[in-house]
Amino acid sequence: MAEFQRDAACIVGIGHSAYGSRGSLADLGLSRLALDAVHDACRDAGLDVRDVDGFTGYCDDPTWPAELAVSLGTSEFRYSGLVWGGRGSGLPGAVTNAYMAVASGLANHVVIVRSLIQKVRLGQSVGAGVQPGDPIPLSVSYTAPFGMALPAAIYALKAQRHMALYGTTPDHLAEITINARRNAVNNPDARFRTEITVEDHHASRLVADPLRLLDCCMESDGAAALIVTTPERAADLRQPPVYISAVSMTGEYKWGTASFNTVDEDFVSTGHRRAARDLYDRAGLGPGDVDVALFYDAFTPSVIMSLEDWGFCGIGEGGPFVAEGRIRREGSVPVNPHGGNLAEVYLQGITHLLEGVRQLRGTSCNQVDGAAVALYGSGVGASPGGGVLLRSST
Amino acid sequence: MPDPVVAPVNEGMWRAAADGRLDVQRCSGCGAHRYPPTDGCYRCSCLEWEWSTLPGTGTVYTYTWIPDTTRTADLGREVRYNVAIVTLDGTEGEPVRVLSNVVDALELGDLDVGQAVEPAFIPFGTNLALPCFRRRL
Repeated sequence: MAEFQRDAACIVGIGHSAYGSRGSLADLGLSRLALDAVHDACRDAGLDVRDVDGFTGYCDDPTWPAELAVSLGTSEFRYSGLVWGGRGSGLPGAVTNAYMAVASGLANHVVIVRSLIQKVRLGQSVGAGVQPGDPIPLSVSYTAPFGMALPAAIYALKAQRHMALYGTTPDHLAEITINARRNAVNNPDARFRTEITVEDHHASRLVADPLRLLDCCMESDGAAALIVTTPERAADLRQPPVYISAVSMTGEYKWGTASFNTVDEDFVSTGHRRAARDLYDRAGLGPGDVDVALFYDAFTPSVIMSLEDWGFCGIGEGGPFVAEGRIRREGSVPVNPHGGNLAEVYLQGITHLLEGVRQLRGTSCNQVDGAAVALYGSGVGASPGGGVLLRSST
Repeated sequence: MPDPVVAPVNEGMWRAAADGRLDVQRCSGCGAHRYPPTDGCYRCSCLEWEWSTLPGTGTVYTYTWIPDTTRTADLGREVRYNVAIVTLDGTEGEPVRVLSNVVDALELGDLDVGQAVEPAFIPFGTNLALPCFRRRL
């Protein structure tokens, strides 16, 4: 491969719509929610919404970019890209699209947007977007007929083996949600702002052993957006730019649609060790440089395995690592200071990137002192996932 | 549970299961076994393959228990079913794992990583069956 051109694009605006419970914002529709987020992000950037000239999304988002362009008054519509594959893990791909579009001169201001209304309940899916009772496609014919009916079960199968191999415990899983809820107390935008205890976690209902309800993220509605441009253009805008040092949308070897036939050393992982290698190489950074980690936390085992995959602890050591308080906001690797999917809102990771930007601007509700580098890592479920490294400009 | 889609890439496996055999794809080029069914070989990229009968025995690689809400409501007590991933014996190439059920494991504690299993076939449709397992005690 040619050498990666790092720091060639930056984030200059972040925004979001109102957040609500599952289905509560359905009357507004996906486009209106997306437009609320784009307007908010442009206000933040000091950019006229009509100057957005590119759109990128992920997770087979049915929001229609041409419709957004019409409502924004876009006169120059220069780029549109939806990530091919990846589902909820596809956010780094959307960042990649925006990065390539502005760095190559295809567009000036590309918006990354995700709008979600959970009338289709993703947490009940028997396969990518397939609801219970729907005819199943060939791709889930080796899982759904056996009752493999929940995204939670994908993580449960990995967590059960993690426990058998490494002695990881339900207390370790509980710590992930305890941390998320504790952080969300200070986040006025968060939906779940009450703290929980280990006992609350263990008393919540079983969803897919060893996972309980308090191992699972919420179902929610809302939209969020980020504005990406070049460092040169950023100089004319309101906010200090946050550099996208590098992106990777590296897929997992032998992982199709929840196929479970990855090689043994990859099974108990989020499938992102190759993505981590690529991302760190491209950025010229390593886990020791990361001040804040934003990990896709649809289910608690994701965070424990992400800490291992992205090099913050040894393989199998994620449980004791979190038990020591290392991911708390006072710890060595603060994880999801905004509350994440578990406590802030579930918009499939995009709000994690908003938090990364806030941390690097120094404006988070749970600010990590001197944060200069933030990492985003995708979860398990579909390929390609990947990661994003953000760097402050100061 | 929904029945699987029967397609050229998997029909032979469902039919073999109805006859009491566990068949998986075997690459005609390099001989590697693979599952779930795919068009090409992960090892040599060859697109030609044939069905190959395995002993059907294996080992539980991991598992989960999921509440069976319908049966729980009918029986008035919490009922769970398992989903288990089984590593198959007698394969060539990287280990081959099947996501399935261990049909005689009914309660939490009936399954552990490393449990030895043997085949059990659960019929569906006409002359078709799902490859499942039971514990080798």
